[in-house]
Amino acid sequence: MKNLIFSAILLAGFLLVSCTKEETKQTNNNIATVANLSIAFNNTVSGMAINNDNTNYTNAIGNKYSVDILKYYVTNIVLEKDNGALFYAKNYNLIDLNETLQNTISLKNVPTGEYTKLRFILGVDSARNTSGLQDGYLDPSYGMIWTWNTGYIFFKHEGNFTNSANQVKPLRFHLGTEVARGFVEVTLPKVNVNGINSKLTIDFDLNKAYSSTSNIDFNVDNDRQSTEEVDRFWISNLKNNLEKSFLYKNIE
Amino acid sequence: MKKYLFFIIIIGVLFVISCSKNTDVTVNTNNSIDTPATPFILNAPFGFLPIVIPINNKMTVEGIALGRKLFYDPMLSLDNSQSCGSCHNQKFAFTDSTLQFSKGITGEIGTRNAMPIMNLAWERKFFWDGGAATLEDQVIGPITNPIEMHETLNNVLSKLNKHNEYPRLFKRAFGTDSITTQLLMKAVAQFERTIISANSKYDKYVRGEAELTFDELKGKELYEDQNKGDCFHCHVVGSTFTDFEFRNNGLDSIFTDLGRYKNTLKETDKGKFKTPSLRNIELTAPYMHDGRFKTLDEVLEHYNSGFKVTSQNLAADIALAKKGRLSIEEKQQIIAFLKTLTDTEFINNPNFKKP
Repeated sequence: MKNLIFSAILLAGFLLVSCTKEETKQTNNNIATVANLSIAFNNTVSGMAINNDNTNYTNAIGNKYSVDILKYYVTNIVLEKDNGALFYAKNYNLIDLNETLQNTISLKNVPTGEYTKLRFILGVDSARNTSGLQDGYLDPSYGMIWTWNTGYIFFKHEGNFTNSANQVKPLRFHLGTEVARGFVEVTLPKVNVNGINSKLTIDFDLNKAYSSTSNIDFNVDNDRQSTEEVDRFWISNLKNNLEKSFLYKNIE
Repeated sequence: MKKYLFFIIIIGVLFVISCSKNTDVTVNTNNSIDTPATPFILNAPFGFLPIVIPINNKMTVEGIALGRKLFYDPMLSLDNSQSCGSCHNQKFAFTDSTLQFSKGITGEIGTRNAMPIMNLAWERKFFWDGGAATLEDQVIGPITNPIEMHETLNNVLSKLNKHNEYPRLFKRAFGTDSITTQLLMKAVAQFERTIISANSKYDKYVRGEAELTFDELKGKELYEDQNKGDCFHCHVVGSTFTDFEFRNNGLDSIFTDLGRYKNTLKETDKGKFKTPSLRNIELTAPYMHDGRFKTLDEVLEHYNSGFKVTSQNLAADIALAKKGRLSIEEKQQIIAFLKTLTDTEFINNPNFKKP
């Protein structure tokens, strides 16, 4: 019996120690002022919402095209304040035109204040890009991984386009590999995160993806999967364009 | 003092219990599906490096058995007609008989020769071009490839989750009956890690249990002679008979398959393919990534004089080799040595057969 009492006291002691630690943490959190913030990605062609039916869009050099599938990874979001303070979201999200619920990323415990920059990786960082044995949006069943090649598909656009001979042809772009990772920086007009303004909307312009720094002509490139020599030029063009395809819309 | 003694005894007993659990490799006969899976220790055979098991896929007896069932289950293909085992036949060291290219469920053929499955626990990258970084990642390649099993992961998961046995087997192995891609990858990889070949005549010779003939010994010497076979630089002698590197062995001066380049897009990786193990080489014909050589004689002749010196990124050992350095007899002796790497116990091992 004495032994039992002894062990019970020991156990209680351990529990007490661990409880005290938890409480200290809790108090610290109460001092810091934080708020929830959601970031919505709005998929557009020149500001107009994209339809996944056979609607034809026209890019900067006049190619007519449609969108069946549009998916891209937005990961490792960083919010920057005027004074340089950073908030790291450490998120892994898959924006998907056909799964609208996925396109709003919820961030918790964002320090309140005015933010001037939003940064993120368009794609998957190299640490996570080496294995598909992962869950969440990195699960291979989302169809954003090359099962024969190491690494994720960072950006996917499938649909069709009308070629220069006026024939409708398939359009299939799968962007990926270590050289394709985009580092996006979106300037924000001193966005105030205060718990009242809770939804930041970012516009993605698919037309910019094919023209913001160099034009991609679908008559030249209409089926690229980032595995052949001929894909290299397209990869760097698309990556550079994508980095300049995201714009602040509003906060509400 | 008595109190402390009591504690020490309790701690001691706990230790003993946990230790015995760790080494217990028999299947838990308890019928409850909530019983934790039985840990399995995969030991490296004599002469092999220790096996490093990924921290996120510890092996269990139940996990291996599940992986084995999945490996041989045609449900993993679109029309339920092909399993992994359809093209990876144990009799041929898990290659596709003597076929140059395997046929997928639609009848289409691939462009590369089916690789053997053996000693993968030591491999670093998978597929001929190293396209899969882990054994777990490799699992989903053939399942989803349109010219192989042509199935989607979502369909496979839906079939497995509705099955009358699998949810229970996943629960036993992983503690959950909600089957995910991760668990599918883990289970098949666990089984594949157990597929070890280490009991060939050569292994018995190394352990002092068998003698090699004159020709086999001479062949071994030529294999290890830099100015003769010069096989050992890449197909290192000892355990795995490969150093796992990617090389261009000079098959072509103009590549029809860019190999490792497809994965890395590096100029220096053009034409490079994985250096395969030479274990069971007698059983894995035809040879090379595209199965272009039907016999070991053709392979030896390629390394003797057939290699293309103008090939880009040619492996240094081949670039430095003198053409025509092997006589017919010497080539036969090297082949005699290579045949000592055939492991008949391996190709008949009941643990690897269809359950």
